[in-house]
This record gives sequence, C-alpha cells and structure tokens, in this order.
Amino acid sequence: MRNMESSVMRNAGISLKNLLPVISFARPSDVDKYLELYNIDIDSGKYRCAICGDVVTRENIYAIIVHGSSIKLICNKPSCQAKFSITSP
Amino acid sequence: MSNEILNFIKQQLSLIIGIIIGAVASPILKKLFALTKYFIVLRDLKRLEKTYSSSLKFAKGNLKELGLIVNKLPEEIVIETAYKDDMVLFSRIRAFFKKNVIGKLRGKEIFSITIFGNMSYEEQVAFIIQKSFESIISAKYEKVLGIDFRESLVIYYSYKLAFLSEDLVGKGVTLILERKFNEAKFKEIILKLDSKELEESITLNPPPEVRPLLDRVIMPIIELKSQEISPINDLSTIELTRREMQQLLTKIAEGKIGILFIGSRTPEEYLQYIKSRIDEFEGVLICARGKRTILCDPIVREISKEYQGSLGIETPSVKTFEGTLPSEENRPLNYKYVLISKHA
Repeated sequence: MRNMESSVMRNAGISLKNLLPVISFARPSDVDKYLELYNIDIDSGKYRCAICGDVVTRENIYAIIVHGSSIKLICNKPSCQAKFSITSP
Repeated sequence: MSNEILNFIKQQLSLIIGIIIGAVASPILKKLFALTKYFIVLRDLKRLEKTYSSSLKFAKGNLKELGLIVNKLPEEIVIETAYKDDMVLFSRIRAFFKKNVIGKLRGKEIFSITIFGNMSYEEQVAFIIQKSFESIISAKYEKVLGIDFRESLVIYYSYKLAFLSEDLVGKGVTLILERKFNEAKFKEIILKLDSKELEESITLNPPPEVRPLLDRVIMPIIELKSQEISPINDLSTIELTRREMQQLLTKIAEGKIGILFIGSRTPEEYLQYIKSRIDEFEGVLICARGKRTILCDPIVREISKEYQGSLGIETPSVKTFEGTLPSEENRPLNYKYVLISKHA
C-alpha cells in the first residue's frame, strides 16, 4: 500500500505527458477473456492488488493495468477503486 | 388475350421484379445498417475520449494556477472498448489506428487499463470525468486535505463540468454526478466557497478579476501548501496540516475571514479597507501576486498593530502560503497569501 501511495505521489510530480492511456470498459462476464488476452493465471494466487496487497481473484478483480511487461491488478474494494488512476500506470 | 390473363401476367411480373429488388436491396440495407451502427460506435467512443480532454480544458481555464499539474497529465486517452446497453463499442481499425499510428507516431508510451463493472454508458462517461479530476486534485493533495474533502472537491468539479458541458456529456451524466455530489460530505462548504454571495460579503475591496474564490484563492492556497509539505512524510505533521486547512476553508465558508486583494492602490488605502471592517471578521486573508507581494508584510505589520492596540490582542496568529504558480499567460509568478487572525 505504501509503495502504491508513493508511486501516486511520484507520478503527480513527474510528467505523464508522454503516456497514452488506452482504456477498455468490460463487463464482469468478460474477465476470463481479458485474463487470457494478457496471459494472467489468476488461479495461481500470486497476483495481489497493487494498492492494498490483497490477493486478487476472478471474483474481486476490478482492473488490469498493463504497461510494457508489467502487469498490475486492482481489487474491487471501494478504497482501491478510489485510489486507482487512469493517468498513470 | 383476355383481361384476366393480362392481369395475371402483370401480377407475376411485379412479383418477380419485387423479388429481384429485394434480393439486391437486402444486402445494401444490411450494409447501411452496419455502417450506421459503426458510426454510432465511433461517436460514442469519441464522446468518452472527449470528456477527458474537456475536463483538462476546463481545469486549465478555471484553475489557471494549477496549470502545472494539468500540463503534466497525458493530453489524451484512447477508449478501446466500452459498452452501451447490449452493444459492445469496439472498432478494430480505430483501435489499431489510435494506438499504432497516432500513439507511436507522436512518440507516446502506451499503457492499457481494463476496468470491469456493470456500468451504464452514462456511468462510464461520469467515471472518465471523475477520474480526470482525481488526477488533477486528489492524488496531488493527499497531504493537505483529508480524503472526504478531496473527494468532495473532485465530485464538485466533475459535476460542474458536466453541468456546463451537458451538450457533450448528456443529461444522464449530469444527473449521476449531481447525485454523487449530493452525498459529498463537504458539499455545503464547497458550494459556499464557490458562491458569489460569499465573495461579495467577505471581499474587503473590489477584486482585480471576477472569478469564484474557490478557483482564485482556495485552490492556489491548497497547491502552495501542497508544494511546501511535499517533502514531509511525518504522519502527525500531515494530519495537522489537513486539520488546519479544513479549519481555514470552513472559516472562510462561514464568512469569518475577510479577503483583501492587493492591487494597484496604496498601502494606506488597503489598511483603510481592513480597518473599516476589522470587527466583523476573526481574521483577514491578504492575497497578492507578482511584484505586489512585497506589500503583504508591511500591511500585516500594520494590522498586527491594530489588533494589539484597539482590540487588545497580544500575539495575532500569522500564517503564510507562498510560492510560484503559473499566471494567466502560463508564466511562473510569485503568489503570496497571508492569513492574520485574532486567534491562533
């Protein structure tokens, strides 16, 4: 959690101008499609929420952020949904 | 040939012609339908993208002093997929063009975000507006304002943008954001800070420009305090700052602090403005920028003397918010806000 907060603070200070966020809205029923698309084995249990650190599952997944080879998942806790940004990876 | 036979032949011919026209027209109609659907998809995806750029434009126009933050954000976003009722809004050609041609040609670094949820199309538009303002306000000010105040500000600016751009975002989006703002904890304070009535009642002199206090005074103060406290990571200092800032904003909203804008008049004239209403307020917030900031300290000294002399206050409290912010012309300019109060 502390890491994510400091990353938000850091990102607020640096230029994000060269980034191009590509956003997809998807229904919960499409989770499997996107997990397959990004080759994410969510059943392995090794994916944790980039904000709170909780294990992310098919049931509590809220967002997938892919930046180069880095993949971050966000869980659907209201506090994590609120902290998640669309302008920085 | 009898008329009956002629009529029969005519009927058969019409039927055959009808079948031929139908056979030719059906694929054309199908293509026309597909084309219309495609244009609807393009229009709805474009609308989502445009709400982001409109949010940045709104922030640049109304919150000029926060220009540095807005200028650091991505200039645009690409919506690859969205949904509206039963329709999936997606175009492979458009997505390819936006990502590979526009993105890469402009040297942009692409990152993808997929958001899961059962949102209506209007909720998706509202989401983009809200997240845009969160990027401008919320993340930056977490050391200066508590979460409820930050959220209230984000929702207020999102709702204000939707209200002013209803042609673009649609009535449904404005209603969603209005409902959210109605639930915001600091709704009343923010509304007061943005109201003309408050500005007219607490401004001690005619302001140099007509802009709401929220945009012109409050947001710059928050930004300056944020700059000052950004290297600090001590939680108690952060919590104390949040509390002090909330108290200041609440007092301004309650009309307990008078506002004085330093312009081209003489220091004596400004002192006269203050003295004439000194009993009405718990304190005075002196606002100056550029070369006029040098007038702040002499005026504060005079007000201190006034507080100590006629009002018998031993040590008036003085708080300064000072730093560099962009001006209207987007040039860096020194801003200074000094709050002098009767009580600490």
